[in-house]
Amino acid sequence: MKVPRISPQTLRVLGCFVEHPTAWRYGYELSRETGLKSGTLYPILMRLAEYSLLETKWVMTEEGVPPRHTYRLTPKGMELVRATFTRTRAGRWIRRTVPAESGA
Amino acid sequence: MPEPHLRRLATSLLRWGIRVAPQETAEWGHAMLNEMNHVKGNWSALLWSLGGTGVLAKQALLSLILPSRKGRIAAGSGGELFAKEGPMSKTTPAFIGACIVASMLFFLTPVFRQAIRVSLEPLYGVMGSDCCHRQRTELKAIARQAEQKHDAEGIAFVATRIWDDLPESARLAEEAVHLDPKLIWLYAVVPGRYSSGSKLDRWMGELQNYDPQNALPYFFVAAEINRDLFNAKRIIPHVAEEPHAWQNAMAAAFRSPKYDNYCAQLKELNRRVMLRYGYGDLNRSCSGTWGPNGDTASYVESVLEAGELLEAQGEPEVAREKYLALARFGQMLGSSAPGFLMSRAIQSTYKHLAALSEKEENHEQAQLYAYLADQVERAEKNDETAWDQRARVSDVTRWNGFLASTSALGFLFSAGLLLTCLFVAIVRGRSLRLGSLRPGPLTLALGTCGSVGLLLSGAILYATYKPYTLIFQRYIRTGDETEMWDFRNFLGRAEIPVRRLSEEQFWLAVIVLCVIALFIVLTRSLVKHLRTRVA
Repeated sequence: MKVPRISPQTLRVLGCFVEHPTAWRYGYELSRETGLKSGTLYPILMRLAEYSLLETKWVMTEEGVPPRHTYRLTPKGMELVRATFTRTRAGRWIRRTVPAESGA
Repeated sequence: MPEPHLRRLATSLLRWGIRVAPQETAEWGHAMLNEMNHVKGNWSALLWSLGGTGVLAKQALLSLILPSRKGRIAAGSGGELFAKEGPMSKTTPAFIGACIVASMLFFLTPVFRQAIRVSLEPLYGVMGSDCCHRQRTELKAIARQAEQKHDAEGIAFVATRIWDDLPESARLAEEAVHLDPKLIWLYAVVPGRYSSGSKLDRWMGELQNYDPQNALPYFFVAAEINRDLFNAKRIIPHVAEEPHAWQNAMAAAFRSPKYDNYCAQLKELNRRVMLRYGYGDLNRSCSGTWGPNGDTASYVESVLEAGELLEAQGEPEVAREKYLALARFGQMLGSSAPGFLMSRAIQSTYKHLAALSEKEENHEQAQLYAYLADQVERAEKNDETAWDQRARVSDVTRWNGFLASTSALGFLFSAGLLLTCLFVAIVRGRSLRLGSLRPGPLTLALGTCGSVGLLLSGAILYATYKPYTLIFQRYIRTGDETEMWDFRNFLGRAEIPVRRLSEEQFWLAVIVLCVIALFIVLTRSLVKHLRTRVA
């Protein structure tokens, strides 16, 4: 898969999904983990969802509390993450040093 | 503010954001709103809400400016996923193109072309370019047409307006007089009269034959003598030391029974030719005509001094003759705007006559001369008041002038903005083909603003200038000058305010702006590069 040029903030968001790509994550949780404010995080989530890299769903967590929006990588998103990140011998995920290409 | 209120405010903000956001973004708004229930701390919730509301408001704004974005979701500055935008959609460029075409249509109207020319004229000066080139070309075209048609008045019109080619002005004047000998008065108003001394002598001789009672040719002869002295670097400190030829010419001028500087004839000629050839430069309606000047006033003073001397020598009758000759000339000038110096000199003449009559105990005559001196003083004050009133700019004219200069600036700025956007789109698309242009959302938004600005400022400039064109056209058609002062005041204010800048300052400002733009572009590119490297 061709790796598009991705902004550092998007990389931080994608980085949250690397360890458990199939897990559903909450927006506030992602915000705390990446240190991104809502004004930066949500446009990224919107764009990832628009390109079908992320799937979303509403879940009820508690009685009387409004449902929460949750996010998980799609197979296409997982492919992108695998193409973008690689695990070091020490077990850390880092970005692959492949030359950036343009286009989706 | 109490803590619950903060959270309530945060909720209200986000709810407002959801209301204004486009439909496809509303779901994300609800996502942020519901997620806020889990944000710890009321201040943090408010910050969360502010960020979310900002995103939603931006989406709402983008969907307004760029309708083609409906159904798409824009990434924020921090969330740009892909480096390149998709192909340009058609609605916005079509809107921009329509605005530009509509703005360019204004150029089809002579009113707008003249408005732009008048308002941007100071720019030619500060840019160091030749602002008179267009005017020269237009005049040459009129001269060519007039010569083909043997139109003496058309040729004469051009001859009176060529100030940078005196031999050509003289040639055209002679051609016009040759075609229509009644236009010989032209010799007194064309700049070509200064092309050579011998030409002036010959012309003034012909003018004296044509209009023998007029003082004007004598004044020209006197002025030419002074010019020769000045060119020879001989400065005459006192009128009494002037050459005899000068003294004779001035004396002959003051003896003449008539004074006509042919301003009325020139105005009429201007009107007729402007109407015939559709030429619209009215600032020179009476330029080139001669009027009493400092030399004339000095001559009057010298005659008064000579009269005083004659009185002292016991020759009051000779002195009176001299005073009366001056007074008669002053009466002759009458309403032809003698000017401040001449007015004072004539007052002084009447005062001398009054004093002489008083000495001779002719009280009635003394009273008459005192009354006449008083009349000249009143007339001078009335002239000053009338001048002030004409020069006073009405609020409407001031406001219209401001509107015209501001809209001309806006037109210029919008055109610059559009060109910059086009340049950016070409650089991003790396192609000159319209279909390959890749403007980003900001470029497209700025381009939209630029095109709307171009259209609006063009419309305002046209609407502001139009009534003044009607005033000018009325003057050309009927000679009605009642509102011409308003028109001139408006023209002075319609220019963009760059006259205070020198040529160097202007280009320095342009260079500084270019350097700032280059710095911003380089910094953005460097930051982008560093971020990519860090990631």
